[in-house]
Amino acid sequence: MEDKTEFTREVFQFVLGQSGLKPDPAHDDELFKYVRNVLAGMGPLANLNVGESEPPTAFKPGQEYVS
Amino acid sequence: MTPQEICYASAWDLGPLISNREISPVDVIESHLKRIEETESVLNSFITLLADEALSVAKRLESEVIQGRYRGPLHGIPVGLKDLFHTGGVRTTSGSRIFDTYIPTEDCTVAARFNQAGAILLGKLNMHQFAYGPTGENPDYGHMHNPWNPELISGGSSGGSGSAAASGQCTITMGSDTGGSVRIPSSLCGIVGLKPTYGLISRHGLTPLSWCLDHPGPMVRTVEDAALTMNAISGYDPKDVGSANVDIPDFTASMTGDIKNVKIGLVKEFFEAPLDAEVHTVIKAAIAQLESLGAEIVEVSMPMFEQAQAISGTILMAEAAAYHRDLLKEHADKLYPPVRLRIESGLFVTAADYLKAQQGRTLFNKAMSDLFLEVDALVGPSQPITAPPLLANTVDINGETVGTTAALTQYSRPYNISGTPAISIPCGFSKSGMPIGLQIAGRAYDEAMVLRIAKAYQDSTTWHQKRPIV
Repeated sequence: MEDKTEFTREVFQFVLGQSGLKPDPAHDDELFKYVRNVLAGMGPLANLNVGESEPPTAFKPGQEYVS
Repeated sequence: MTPQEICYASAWDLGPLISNREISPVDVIESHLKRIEETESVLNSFITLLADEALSVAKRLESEVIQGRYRGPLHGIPVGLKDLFHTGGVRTTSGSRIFDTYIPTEDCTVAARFNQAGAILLGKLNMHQFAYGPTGENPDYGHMHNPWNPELISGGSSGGSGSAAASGQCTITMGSDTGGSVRIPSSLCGIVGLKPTYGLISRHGLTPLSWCLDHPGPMVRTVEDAALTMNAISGYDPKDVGSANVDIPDFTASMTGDIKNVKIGLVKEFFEAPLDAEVHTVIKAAIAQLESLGAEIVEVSMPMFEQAQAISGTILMAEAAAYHRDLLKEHADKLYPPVRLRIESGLFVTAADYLKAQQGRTLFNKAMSDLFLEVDALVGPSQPITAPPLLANTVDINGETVGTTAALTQYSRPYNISGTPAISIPCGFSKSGMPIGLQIAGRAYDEAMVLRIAKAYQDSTTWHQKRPIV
């Protein structure tokens, strides 16, 4: 996991732009602070040694899909 | 029975009366409509009330009984669905005015199975917008209120389901639980809420919050009704890619009342986390009660409890942002601001973050699997606090300030990660008269053990018989 201390306003604006969201200066200030807190909250995950474990998202070929 | 008694009767008790024609489904629905009329202005449980439709169905079901065509224990029983369960011909808002006029063309699998069982849809229940919050706030359709004290939250996200079941507005309600949204309002409103094993109840036709964490589940007033509901609606559904193709037992058969020699683990980390002193005392008394019933209580450790919030939160944020991304582009300004912030923040979770959280989930589940080799079930508080005031961003727990969302989800999220069954049952009240819930969790697909312990506890106490004044 990348170092979240690098999360700057420039990175924030870039991701926001890539997401296709319209700029909203008043809201964006609030969102920037919120996202910083959220990413800080992911700290315990950053420090977790997951070793060779695989995500539990195994693909099962041939599974029947019904819409 | 008086109308009020009908409203507070369980499906377990009403079923034989309807079957024997001692009570008609029409009487049942009329009683509930009266109860809703008396209480709805205070509680705001419903987004859409289906009074005329429910009465019409009740008359048809009454005729069926007269003709000897009794469908089973849910025949004529009033049901309310959280307003993210899609219902054919009935609007489904997911708690947002953006979908105020959205009318699905077909029922979700849960609604279809209730219909088949003869249950009567009384209405669509209020919820935290898009199920993204544990407090039951909704500016679009009005906030939900706790029947035990309307100035306090009902909990969320299935807040309307909690208040409707607790106040006798519905016999059975359904919620969905991604980080606790069945168990949180159940605990705060003093009812029984079961989050079954992932895949046991179909998610087909439910507005998702997080595909791999969403668990639909019953919210009722007794353990028996949770079992009856499971009998009616669980089971394989090829329309849900996560549906479990397993044998479905008779869930009522497990409720023997006997828990002698059942080994129950007391998760020590639950008591090291912020936990209100009064809740602590009540939970310890409930666990002592289980011990007095013959269970063996042992202290155990949930080694990755510290990481549970981050694992669950990261997965949830990424999946919610993926699902709602187009909505953000078109309708961001129409979202409830805190929900908007939560959805938008998921756009900043990278693919690597998301997959690391999923790797963490693998480790977490391995640890849980090992834990369940030692014990038959785990117990602890459902919530660290009783219901806080509406719109409180933080709560005080023994002098420590804790974010409300973090507090309300701290004990529920681990079982969304593991996908294993967990139930909240009423186990006491605070001095101020607010309900406290006991959480019992079991191995995957072992709802039988969870219900067995819950039923034994329920039968040895009277907490489930207490009623709010509303």
